[in-house]
Formats: sequence, structure tokens, C-alpha cells
Amino acid sequence: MDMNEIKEIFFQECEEQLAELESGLLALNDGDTDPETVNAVFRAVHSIKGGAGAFGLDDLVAFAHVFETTLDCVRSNKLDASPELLKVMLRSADVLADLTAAARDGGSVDKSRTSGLVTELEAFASGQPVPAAAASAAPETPAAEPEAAAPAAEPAPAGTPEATDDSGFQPVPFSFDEFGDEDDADTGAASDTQETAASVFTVRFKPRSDLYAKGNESVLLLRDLSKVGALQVRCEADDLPSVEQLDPEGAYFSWLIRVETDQDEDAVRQVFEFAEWDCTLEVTAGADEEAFAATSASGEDQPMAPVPFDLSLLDDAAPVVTAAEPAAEAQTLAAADSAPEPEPAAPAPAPALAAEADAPLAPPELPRAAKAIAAEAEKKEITVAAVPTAPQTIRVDLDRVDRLINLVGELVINQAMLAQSVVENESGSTSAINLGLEELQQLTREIQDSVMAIRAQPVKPVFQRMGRIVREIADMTGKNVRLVTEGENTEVDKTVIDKLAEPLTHMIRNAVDHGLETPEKRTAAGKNAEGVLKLSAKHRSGRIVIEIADDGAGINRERVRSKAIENGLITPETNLSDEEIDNLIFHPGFSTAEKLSDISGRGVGMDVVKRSIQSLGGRISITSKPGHGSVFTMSLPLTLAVLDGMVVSVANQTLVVPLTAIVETLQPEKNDIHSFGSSQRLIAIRDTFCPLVDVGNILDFRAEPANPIDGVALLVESEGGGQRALMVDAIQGQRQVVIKSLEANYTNVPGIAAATILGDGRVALILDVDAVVTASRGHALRPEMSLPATG
Amino acid sequence: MKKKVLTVDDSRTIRNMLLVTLNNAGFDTVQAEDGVEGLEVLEESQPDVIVTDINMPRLDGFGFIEGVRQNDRYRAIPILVLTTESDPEKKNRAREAGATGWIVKPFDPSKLISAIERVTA
Amino acid sequence: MSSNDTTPKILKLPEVLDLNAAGRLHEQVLAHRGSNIDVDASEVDRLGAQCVQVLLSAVQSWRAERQDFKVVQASEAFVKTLQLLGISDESLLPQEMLK
Repeated sequence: MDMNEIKEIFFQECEEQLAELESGLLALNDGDTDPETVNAVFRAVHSIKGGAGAFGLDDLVAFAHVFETTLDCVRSNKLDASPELLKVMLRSADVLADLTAAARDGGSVDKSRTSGLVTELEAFASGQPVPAAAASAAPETPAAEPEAAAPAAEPAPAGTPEATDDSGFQPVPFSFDEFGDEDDADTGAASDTQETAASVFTVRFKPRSDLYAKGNESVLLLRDLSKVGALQVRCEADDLPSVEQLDPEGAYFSWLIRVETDQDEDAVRQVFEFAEWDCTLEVTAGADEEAFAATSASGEDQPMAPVPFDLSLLDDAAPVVTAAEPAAEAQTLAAADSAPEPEPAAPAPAPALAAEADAPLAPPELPRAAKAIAAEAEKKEITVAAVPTAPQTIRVDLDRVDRLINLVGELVINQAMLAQSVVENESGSTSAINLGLEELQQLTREIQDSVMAIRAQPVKPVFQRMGRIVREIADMTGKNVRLVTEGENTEVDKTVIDKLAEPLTHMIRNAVDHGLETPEKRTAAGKNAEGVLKLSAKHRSGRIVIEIADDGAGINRERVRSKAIENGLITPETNLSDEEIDNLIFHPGFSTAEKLSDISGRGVGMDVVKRSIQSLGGRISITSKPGHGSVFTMSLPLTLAVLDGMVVSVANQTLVVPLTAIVETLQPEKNDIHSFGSSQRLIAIRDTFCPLVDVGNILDFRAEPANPIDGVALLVESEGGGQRALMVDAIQGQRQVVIKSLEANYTNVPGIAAATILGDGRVALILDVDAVVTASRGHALRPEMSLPATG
Repeated sequence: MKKKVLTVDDSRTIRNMLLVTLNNAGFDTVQAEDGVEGLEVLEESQPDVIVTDINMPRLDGFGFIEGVRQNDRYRAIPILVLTTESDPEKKNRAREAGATGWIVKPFDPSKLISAIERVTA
Repeated sequence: MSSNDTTPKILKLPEVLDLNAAGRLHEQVLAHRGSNIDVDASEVDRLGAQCVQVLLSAVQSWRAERQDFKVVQASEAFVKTLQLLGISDESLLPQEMLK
């Protein structure tokens, strides 16, 4: 592992800490008073600061430090977590995220924004919050800020940006290159600053018992002192009681030490850095000959005569002083050094696992992980052993998981092929074989589910990012918005999550910009001035459903309708249901005609959102209630790797239609089919007519539509409202298929979403239902879209 | 014989830095992510010295140090506090809890090693 | 006083004599009160100041009773630690060990 890898880990960790920070602040904002929430928020910032300091990311450190200082005030109850403060902190969290991103990807962060927030944070920490009006002005005009902050008094010293530099926090960039022989470093430093003349110091050192209790040791202190210079040590044991009176953990000895060194007094004191709280220490320049003389005077038999101590006695590398037995001494020392230490019997699985897992972070945790795996081995599912609160995890390269998923996909196909050939050779098959096959199928399915679950992740990170979007748009539009999230632990495939952020961002912007009214309008309409945006996720019938609901004014149908007429999407005579009008906003060519605003407009319409959702195999729709708000509902597959499909034949080709798209299947009767216009045909389903689409014709498998009476109609739901009956020749069956990307293996084919391999080894194309429906519309959204049945 | 160091820190970044620094310096390193885990790991690893962070979830550095000092088997192990707090109040609390010494983050590898050398026999 | 009990008892010191060992060493020493003691410090690898306090207190207490509490065998580490601490009591650090 090198610096870059650790740096990568640092940025990953920052992401997590930033998420933690934001969710903590939001919880506080919602009235959470748990001290642990404040602690967690503090820790997140603290941790970012710590890592950033190690990498010399000074901007990040400086800002994190100010942020942390203010958080510390909250943590120690010196400062109340008021809504005003939390607002500033949430914005600070955004800036911290920007600074982190800038440190990672280069680029810079708006300095005025940073310094404005620094001023506000420091003002809170110093107990003189900037008045709200000045606070909102601060980011733009930091120079004018001190006046605004304290018009009467002089600006608080803590409120000036320079105060950051006086914080006493000195980042020391970390580098492994610096790591050398510490003795060399010490000597080097000493020789730079130090006069050559040796000086003498007298040290009086009397430890208290606490010194020992805290793990310090006089022996080690003297050893270190002996590295500073030549010592003469006199132990004073006058306080030592008789053995009966003695407290074995007491501190009775004290020392008088003469140090002769070419280093300065600081070097001598430095030795006692950790100990000085628990001892009395006196260091004086010069020798206290009198004190030592007193000893000599009291005679040779004095047990406590000063003992000159030679450092070389301790230093293994130094030449052995005892002339008599140099070899013996050296040997003894060597033997002592290499004395075999009984190694704790290392569990064999640990190193093996380390090698296989190839997880650079894991080694120290592996022994326990290994145990956990062993303990869980009997369970069917791969679970992780639980430490009381946090589940244990291992980090695995995504590529490995994907390879596994691919292999399981192959296994599924292989199992299907095996099953098929058994069916084809039915004469030879026995019930035992069939039973075995069934079990195999069951197991394959379970393996597949478990493997898919590895890729599943909660939508939480994406949801959390939306908080920031909401704050930004709210600030820009002057609206009061509260984002409420629900079901953020709902899990979905990582690919889906990654692709979700963009459409979601756009929809959130749209909801705040267009959906919610200004506080004035809301108040006038008798609503709470603060608009509520609810973002929720849940699982429903094998899909994830994400809703964005606002309590705004709802869709202005008159305006949408007149705009659609203006853009030639519909004619003035077109009779559309409310739902169909609402869904017009997803139509290409609707919003691009006129940018609704520079925030959610930006030339990107809801049609783009819809297309990106569809490309994920998802659907989107809107329901709206005038005066009460709108709800956007997205439904997405949980995984992009497999799908349940209906295998159908069309013009001698085998196609797969995603089951989720199919509402029902019908056998058309002659009487149900009605012609409309030149080539349009409709099928009567109960009391409505539905356009009939010949799939073979649309995909150019055949020039002319087949006779509907000979085929089967699949009633599918299309996103823009209304339904279509897709005509196919025959249904072969339903099965789960593994999706193989066409784009990755061939190229994008209109009307085809992907491919798969069937049990008999043939490749089948997966129909892109929405693309087919769109293509069938031709001049889409014409009256044929949905007609009330006449009969 | 290698000296064994137990590090307790909730930051993955710092854990990795400690690991690399200590391994490069020839120490055996065992690691824990918070005080609770630190006390668990202590039971199985018997380190010669402990390096711990202060701000950690579940059980912070102060609590962890007290836990070590109250345990008859481990109370003699030197504990170095690794923290960004240069604030004397925090250092005081760590000392009262029983810390042997401290290293100010962001740590300088040679300072870390010399602090460890200083408190171990 | 106990001239008939001249055979010294052996007190063998463990490898590690740190903070944790001081209490036990103290108990052992007290248990041997009244007998001449030959201390075997040949295995000592690590010696803390508090255990030295116990040993020196024992030497002095024994001496007050005109009995012997003396080190007869010592490891390098034991000798060096006593030197470092400035302890030169003949019973703890016999001259012949200081070659």
C-alpha cells in the first residue's frame, strides 16, 4: 500500500463522513436531541480534518477546523443547535463537500463562500451570531461583513478570517519518505541549532505513583535520558519503608542526575514530556557538585553512591565496553534479542483468506472475519457476523462481484439448457432426474438472488445528495422547503443507484422550482409558508418505487394544455383526461419549446428524465391535484442483470418481452378488431379501444402486419398514458432471462433493449416495449391515443 | 522479537497510515475501530503498547483507556493517545483516564515511532 | 538470631518484573520473611523501578534483622537496570557481577 492508495481510502472515507455529517445535521434540524448525534457529526468533521492534515490539504483542514470548533461548542452545550446555526452548518457541510471534491479532483471552491461561512461559524462559536440579514449577505460581500456583524462594537477578533491561522492547528503533511532513522533526525536537528560545547545539567526527578500507574516507567525515562548525554545517577531511597510498610506500587525512589550533553535543556526536558504531570522535575544548568559531593563524603559503603552510567551498556549497536568479555557480552545481547517468543498459534485460515480476498485493508481484521465466516458457514445465506451495533463488512472489488454475477448468469442459462435437453429426451428421464433438476433450478435461483443481493445498496447516499440540491434551489428561488425522506434504506442494484442521481436531481429541481409556490403565495393560499418535498422509496412487486411528492400548486393543466396546442402536440379539439394532460410534460418537444426557468429548465425537459428512467427499465408517471401538489412516481427494476420475461415468437424470431411491461394477454376475436384510418387498427378491450401494434411489422421482420386473429395480443402499459396491444405470433412461455447488453457486445438497436441466451442456446432479443410503443405512435399523441368506446 | 502495537481509531485513513508506518518500522500491528472493539482485540492480542484515538463511536478514547487501566491483566500496557486535539483540556482528560503519552495528529511517522520507543521497554 | 537456620532459601525472579509484578513480588518477599534468601535474577528480562523498590526494601529490612537477602545470580538486564537507576547496594548488585 502506498500513499496514493491511502489517499484514495481517505476520499472514500470522506464521502461516508460527509453523508454522516449531513444526515446528522438534518436529524438535529428535525429536533433530534440525542447527544450521540452531535458527537457523530463532530466526529465526521474531525475525521475529515485529521486525514486532510495528513495529506497537507490545508484549505480543507482550515475550514474543517473552524467547523469543528463550532461543533465542539454545540457538543459541550456551550452553543444551542438553533435552526439558524443548523442552516449555517448545513451550508458549511456543502462547502466541506466541495472542498473535499476540489482536493480530490482539482479545481477550486468559491473563496467568498468559504470565508463567509468561516465568519458565520466563528461568530456562533464566539457567542455573537451574525444577524440573519448580514448572514445571508455574507457570502457575497465578505469584506463588508464585519461591519454588518457588529455595527456597534468593534469586530470580534474571532470573527476575522485570519483567526483561522491563529487556531494553533498546524498541519504537518505526512510522508513516508520522511520516515527515516529517528536518531539521525534528532542528531541532525541538534547539530544545527547547538553549540558544540558540552554542557552539564542537573536533573532532580521524583515520580509519583501515578506515573507508574499510567504506564510510564522511571527505568525507561532514565534510559532515554542516557541517550541525551552521559549520566551520573544517584538514587535517593531515604523514603523507602521497611518491606512490611511498603506499598509495592508506591513511588519512593527519587533521582539526582548529572547529565553531560552537547544538547540543550529542552532535549533534557523532552525526555520527561509524558511524565512531567506525575512527577516533580527540576532541570538546572550546571552541575550541583555539592549534592554529589555530599554522597562521596558519606563514605564508600553508602549504598546510593552515584553510579556513572554508560549509554553503551544499553545500546545494542554500540561497541561493548567490558573489555574482559566482549564476545560473551555481544552474544548475550544477541541471544536476548532473538529470544524466541512463543507465537500465538495463528489460525491457518487467516493468511489463506488474506491471500484470496486480496483486500488491502483487511489483514488485521481477518482473523475475526475468518471466525465469523466459519461460524456462519452452515447458514444458507452469506451473512456477516454481527458486532453488537455495526455489521461487519469486507470490501470487495466491484469487478469481482460482477464476474460472479456473470458466472451465475451463465449458470442459469446452463441450467435452463440442461433442463430443456432432459425434456427433449423425455424417454430416458426418470423422476429422480426431474427431481434433481428441480432442486438444481431452486438452488440456482437462490444463488442468483444471493449474488444479486451483494450488489444491492440502500438508496440513502443518493437521497442524501438531494438534500443539498433542495437547499441550493430553495436559496436561489427564495422558497422555504423542507425535504422529508422515507425508506432510504430500501436497497437496489448499485448500477441503478448510480444512474438514479441525475434524473432524480432534475426532478427535485423541477419540484422546487415549479411545484412549490413562493412563501407569499403559500401563505395567501392558507398553506404553511414552508413547502414540503417528500422523497420516498419502497419495494413493490419486485421493483423499487420512488416517489417525489410536493405539496405545491399542482400542475396547471390549462397552461400545459394550451402549450401543447401551441407546440402542435395536440389539436384544440383533442379530448384528454387530466392524467393524460399531466403526462404531456414528459413529451419530447413540450418543455424544450420554452425554457420555463433557468433552474430546472436549462434546455433539459422531463422527456430526458423519462428517457433515462426508461433506459433503466423503469417507468415514470405523474399524478397531480390542483392546489395540493404533484407526485412523480418512478418504478425501476431491482437489478439490471436479470429480468422475468415472456418468450414469444414473431415472424419466426424469438423475442423476450419484459413481464413487468405486460398488463395482460388476449386472444383477439374477429369482432374486436376495428380499422382506423389508413393503417391503424384498434382492438376493443372491455369498454375501451386500444391501438394494435404488430411487433413484426414495427421491427421490420415483415413488410405487412400479420392478421391479428392468428396471433396473440400483449396488452402493455406505456408511460405516456394509455395502453397498446402488441401483436405477436405466439407465446412460448415465461422465464427469467439473464440480460446481455447489446451495446456492449454489438451496437444499439432501436426497439431492442438487450439480448439473452435461451435454454436451447439460441440468442433472443429483448423487446424495448416503450421504444416500440413510441415508434408505433408515429404522429404520437393524436386522438387515437385512447378513445372512449362507442358501444 | 517484534513489538506488538494495538491501534484504535475509527478513521480508515488513519488506520492505514498507522499500519504502513508501524509495519515499515518493524512492528506487529493489530487494529480496532473503536474502544469496544479495542477492548475485545486486547483480549486476544496482548500488545506491548496501545495507540488510540479519542473521538470514536461506541466507546471513545477516554473510556477505552479507563477500561484498559481497570483490567488487571492489561493495566501496565503503555497507552499513547493519538489525537488532533492540541487542546490541553483534552490532554488532561486523557491523562486522568490513564494515558501514558500522546502524539498530535497529523502524526509524523518518526515522532510516532519515537513515542512508541519511549514508552516501551 | 537464627544461626541454626543457615541454608538460604532461593527466590527465583520471573522474566518480567513490571508494574503488574510488583504486588506479587511483594507478597513472595513477605512470605519469606525470617529466612536467608538467595535471589536468582538470572531470568529477569524486564525490571521496573517499583520491583527494584520492593527488592531494595527487602534487602534493608533483612539487613535490619541481620539476615541475608542477596542476589546470587543476575541477568544482564537486571544488572543494567540497577546501574541505570543508580543502585549500587552490594546485596542487590554484588561486585563480581560488575566485571
